[in-house]
Amino acid sequence: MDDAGVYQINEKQALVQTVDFFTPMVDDPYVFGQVAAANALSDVYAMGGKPLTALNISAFDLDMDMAILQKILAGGAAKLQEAGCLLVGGHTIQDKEPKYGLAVTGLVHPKEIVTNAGAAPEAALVLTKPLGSGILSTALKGDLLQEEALAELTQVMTTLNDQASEVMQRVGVLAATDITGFGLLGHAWEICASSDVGMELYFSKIPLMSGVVDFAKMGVIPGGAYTNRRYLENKVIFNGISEEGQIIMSDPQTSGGLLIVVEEKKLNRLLNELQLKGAAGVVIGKTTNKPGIINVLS
Amino acid sequence: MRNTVDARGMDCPQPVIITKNALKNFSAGELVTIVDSEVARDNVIKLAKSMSMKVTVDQQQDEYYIRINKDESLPLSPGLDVDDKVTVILFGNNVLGTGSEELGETLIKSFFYTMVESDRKPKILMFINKGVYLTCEESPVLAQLMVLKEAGVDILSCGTCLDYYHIKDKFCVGNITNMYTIQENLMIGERVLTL
Repeated sequence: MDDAGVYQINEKQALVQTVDFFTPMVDDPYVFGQVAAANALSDVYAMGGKPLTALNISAFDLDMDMAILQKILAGGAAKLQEAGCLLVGGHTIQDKEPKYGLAVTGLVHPKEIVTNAGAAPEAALVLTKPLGSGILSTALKGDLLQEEALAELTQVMTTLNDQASEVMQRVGVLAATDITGFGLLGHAWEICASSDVGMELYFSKIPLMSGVVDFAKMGVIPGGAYTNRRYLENKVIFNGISEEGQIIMSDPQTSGGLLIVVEEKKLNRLLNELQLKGAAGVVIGKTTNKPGIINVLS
Repeated sequence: MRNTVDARGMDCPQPVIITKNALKNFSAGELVTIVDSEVARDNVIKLAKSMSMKVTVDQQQDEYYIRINKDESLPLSPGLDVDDKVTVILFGNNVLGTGSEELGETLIKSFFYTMVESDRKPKILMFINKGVYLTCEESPVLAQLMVLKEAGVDILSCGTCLDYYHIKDKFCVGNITNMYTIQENLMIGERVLTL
């Protein structure tokens, strides 16, 4: 499975289509709109495409203050504008629990599509955003998050993957995916399965948002993290990785970063250009020739 | 003093939050948190452990009664020796000592039974060669190893050995590791024993 559907129109153009929507994970409706849009756009970026148009999908309770819905949509529209993507319509239904997201259509050159299937052994793995949004959103729900931590979480989730995508397209990479609901390990596994490679990941190299380790230790953990870990039970080998480390690597992410597979010879250029564009890329491991096994080392 | 927190039907992180608040509000005694999902159960257990409290779980149908003892808080982090030395034990066989196999199995059982009861637990147990049979199905000490793991002891089995004996699919407790980690643990151990 890839991040989005692709339909080739002609030799130079293919459409990339994706849809994603969810319930609020933050209290501020404008921020929720921004996060939902950044998250929906991310699938197009992960395929190396450029978003063209988008349609809003929303659910809202008519008994609630309509100004809230307007703020959600305004947040989404602001992110689309930042992405240079045109909002061309949308649809709202009535529902007790608010939901928002978008269907996004993008464009990519058929020869430049970045899939999950192109990885080869002995290539570097680069991650472009810190982990922890699932755990921190759970802490936020429990009113446990300090203002500073919330600011970091918001900043990470509202950051578009546009720069990272542009850089990887320019440098030329083997494969990429965006880290969302299946967590780092789940999406890493998708690349392994599609590309017939294995991986070696180094936990200490993985960037984490502040506070994530403490919350994971005290059991502020979304159910999805356990589900993800259970699903990967026979595929991932943890070598002396703490319980909280295993949970963090399985934590479902909202609007997470890109996991990019790049040849060693291009690695330095990729990291330098990412840094220039302000999209911090960190090497967290490498691919191996042991298909289907993710080996996690400390 | 005894208190009950009913967290049935609650989504995460609510069971953790209300348990935490309840623990804050009483000085000593047993707190029972009732939850009805595995996720809530695991999260509340983690909370209690992160606060160094003793925790046991009873399952009744689909509900979990998590008993947390505030007065029995552990003075040291679990898994460490009382004198804080990092003890590493390497098991090269599935029996204890050389001689009669039957006696060796009796001895290894009694060794692990004793270790579970002991206050001085090792930090890391590593299993190589035939030792890996101890971490697989049909091991006579599986339950003891699980208890030790819960107490914070790292249990590591050699992946090459599991492959060699074709028992990787029977592997049950702890993590699979490689020679790099085994070697490193032997180096970092302040007290290393080979059995």
